[in-house]
Amino acid sequence: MSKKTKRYNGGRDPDEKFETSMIGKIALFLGPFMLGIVIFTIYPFINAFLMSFKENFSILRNTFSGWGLANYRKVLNDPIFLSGLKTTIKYVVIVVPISLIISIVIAVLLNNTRRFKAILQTAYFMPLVTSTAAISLVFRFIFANEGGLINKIITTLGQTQINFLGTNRWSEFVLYIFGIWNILPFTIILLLAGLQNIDPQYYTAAKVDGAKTLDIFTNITVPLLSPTIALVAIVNSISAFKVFDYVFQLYNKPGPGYNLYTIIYYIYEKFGGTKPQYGHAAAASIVLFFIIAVFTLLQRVLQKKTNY
Amino acid sequence: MEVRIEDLVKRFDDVVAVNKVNATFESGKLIALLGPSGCGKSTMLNMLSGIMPVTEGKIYFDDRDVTMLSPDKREVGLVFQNYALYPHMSVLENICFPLKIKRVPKAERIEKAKEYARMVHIDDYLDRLPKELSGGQQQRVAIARALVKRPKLLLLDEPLSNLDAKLRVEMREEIRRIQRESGVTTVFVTHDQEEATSISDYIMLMKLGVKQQFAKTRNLYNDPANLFVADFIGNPTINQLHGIYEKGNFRPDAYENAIPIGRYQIEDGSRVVFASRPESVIVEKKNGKTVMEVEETYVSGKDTLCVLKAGDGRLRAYVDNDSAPQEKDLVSVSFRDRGVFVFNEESGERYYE
Amino acid sequence: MKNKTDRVKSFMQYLTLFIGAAIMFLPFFWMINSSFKTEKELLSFQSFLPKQLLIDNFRQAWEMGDFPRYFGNSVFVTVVCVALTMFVTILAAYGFSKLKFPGRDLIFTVLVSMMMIPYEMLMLTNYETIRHMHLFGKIWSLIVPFTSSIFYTYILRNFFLSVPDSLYQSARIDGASDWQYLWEIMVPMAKPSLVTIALLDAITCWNSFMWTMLMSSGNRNIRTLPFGLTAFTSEAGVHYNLWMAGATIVVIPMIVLFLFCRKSIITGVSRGGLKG
Repeated sequence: MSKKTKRYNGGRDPDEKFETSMIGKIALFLGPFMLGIVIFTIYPFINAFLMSFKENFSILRNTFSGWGLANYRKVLNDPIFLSGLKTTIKYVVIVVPISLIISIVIAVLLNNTRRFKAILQTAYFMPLVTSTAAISLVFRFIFANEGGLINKIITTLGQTQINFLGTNRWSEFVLYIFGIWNILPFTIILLLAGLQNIDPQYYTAAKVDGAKTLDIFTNITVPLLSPTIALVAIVNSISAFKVFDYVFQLYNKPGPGYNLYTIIYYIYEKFGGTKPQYGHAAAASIVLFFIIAVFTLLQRVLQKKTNY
Repeated sequence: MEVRIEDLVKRFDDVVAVNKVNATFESGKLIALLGPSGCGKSTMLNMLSGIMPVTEGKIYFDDRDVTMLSPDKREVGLVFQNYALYPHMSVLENICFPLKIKRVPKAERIEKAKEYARMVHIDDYLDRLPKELSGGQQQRVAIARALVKRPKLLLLDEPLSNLDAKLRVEMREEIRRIQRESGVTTVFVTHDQEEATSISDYIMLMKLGVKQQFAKTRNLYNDPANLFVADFIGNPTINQLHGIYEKGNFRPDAYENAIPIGRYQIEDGSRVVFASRPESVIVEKKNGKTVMEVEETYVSGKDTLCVLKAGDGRLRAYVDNDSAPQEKDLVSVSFRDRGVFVFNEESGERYYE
Repeated sequence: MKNKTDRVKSFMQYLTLFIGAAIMFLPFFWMINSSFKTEKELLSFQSFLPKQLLIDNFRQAWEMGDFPRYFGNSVFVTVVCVALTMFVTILAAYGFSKLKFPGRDLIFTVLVSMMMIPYEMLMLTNYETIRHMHLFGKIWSLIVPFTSSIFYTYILRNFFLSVPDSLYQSARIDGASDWQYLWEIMVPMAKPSLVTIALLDAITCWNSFMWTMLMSSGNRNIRTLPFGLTAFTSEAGVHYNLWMAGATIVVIPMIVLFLFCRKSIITGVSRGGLKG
């Protein structure tokens, strides 16, 4: 009698040809997916690193003069990149906290409503599905000098018209409004999910203790919601660091006076502009990657801690 | 179909789950794989179904070696402990599924599915989803689904453990009936000796991966191969007195009087366990023989179970209700020849007269 | 048993919510409202609502802006991309949850951590890859790079992992292959997750902007609606009535989708996807 010892394969298939049949299955089920991932994620990811170290890289001739840090030196000393970084950080620092505060208020109020849920949800969450390219046109129209709704209101109130889209100061303002408007639905939805995880017993207990609405909000809701708030803040910061579409769609250029030049704008111009410099674009994208990686790690740590 | 297993071994890393088991399951019988948890009974079942590969040994279905065959080629039906019904399919679709995979024409498979649904008495619920059924009904569907492809072997993994007490009794009778009606060789796994003894033709009792005894259900009770079997089968459990064998007599540690038990091939002075079924203990009015005090009595049906103080130990005895003693009574105790066994104290092996 | 202060509080709550909702909804309202006005009406603010429901703007934008083509492209790209993505995702989620092979979970963890790579970092190389594949300027360039989604695979895998293995074993004994088990058992069971994924992907595909802009720089015939609209605005000049009509054309299909599938979309977004 043959006494063949077989490796335990997870209690699945006692087929003699386990190894080959498994390889076939892996190829069948994971092949298409991995093909896409390898070609369009892993390879370009590695290639971005390689390109960033290639000096005087020319993609047309596929030549470079040698390996080194020249691209990084150039990018990190480039006043245009640095101002782009500054603009981006300013955008993050303004848009993320303001949208969070508004979202917390709206989420708490929405969480307590029984009626009009469908109407309210529709109004608040519709921006999720609508093309920012289309809505940016509406914003341009609303803030326009001639025929713009906002300026009409301002002049009706007897004030002088404001050139929202043509001045540095106000174009920034419109960008922030647009950014906040776009990010609110996502933020509110995540906060609502967080609120639903809070045990209603806490509220009952606080009410029995005689707490007022505002006391409950500051002493119960906000502290218990804080893990979610932190998480949303990080996720929103990551997406805000990548701001580009909004600027491009609102102004077709980095703001009326080149004042809204962001990191991605820099990458985009170094790569798609008239004088492409792939090495610089790659180096800048890797700087962005590391900024995002830091935020992502923070997010992972928080997620683990809060079991969210 | 007859099932034969030869030197079957299953190892997980260093743990031996099933150790060199041999057995032949007679065609058309209901066989219980019985034992405490971790005894390897479920592993045995999974090897029979083909879900789990065999480490060593052979499995034959009739004369066909199926050891290396994948589950779908073995023609077995398997009912899982949690029934594993497909939650998105109706009762009828669930029962049809094995036939659908076999590409049986739609009209034919619906007809067959209905036939088996009738057999398991679930034909009033064909359009329901599994979550709309009770546990017992889900079980019936699972059995119908396993039977519909006319398997040569039906395997049931702890089929009754997810049911409440009343349903359990009902369903075990149902399993018996369905098995009889379909005539399929059936193997089921259970840890409950009462469940096993009440419906099976044969029982294989296992412990730590080793077969303890494989016998007709009645024989397991009347003729246990070792102390573990004697102890595991029977409710209330068998009485056990430890002591010394001496010239046809058993001297218990617990009290003075020797018990005459007849000639065994045992060296005088050996330590043995004297085991007796409660119905083999004779309780009489105090008459000079071994005297014990009645500690407690429990009426159960037409019998009374008496707990007797045997020195430090206890003896349980069944007495007819009419002649049952009162608590605190002193009675004389002796033993019948039937239902009395002697085992090696250390190994648990049985001594024969 | 509500007393007066409670009622005031409740009123204030709804008032705040409705004011907020009005502000959030204003762009949509203004867009649709203006799309029916004549240019003169628009600039003069004679009346708040349009005097009559003019479809002139739509007709004009539709004809001037090559919108029929953009619309067709958008539908094609969205339908094909969602279908392919679903197919690839279903296979991959099954592979990463139910096939047992060494290193499976480690590989998946690495893949999940790759979700944080900003697309802009990959864009440079993908642009070249598309050129090498001779897809540049072809409509498939808008689809091919996006059929493998780690995020969707992650969502679906989580669902597949929650399905007990006994179902798999049961199906195996019934003679089903892995392939049959996946399509006959797992996929029908995963319907809610699949709907969510399909919706999120459809929204993403429909609204895709930057990559479409890059890819269509060589061929204006592959433009989809969002970039087509942007291009139209610079080609047609400042005619807000036409802009608003064009924007409405782009946005309406997704709004309809939202109205019908609000709950699934919100569930999907709360799991962390979209615009993030």
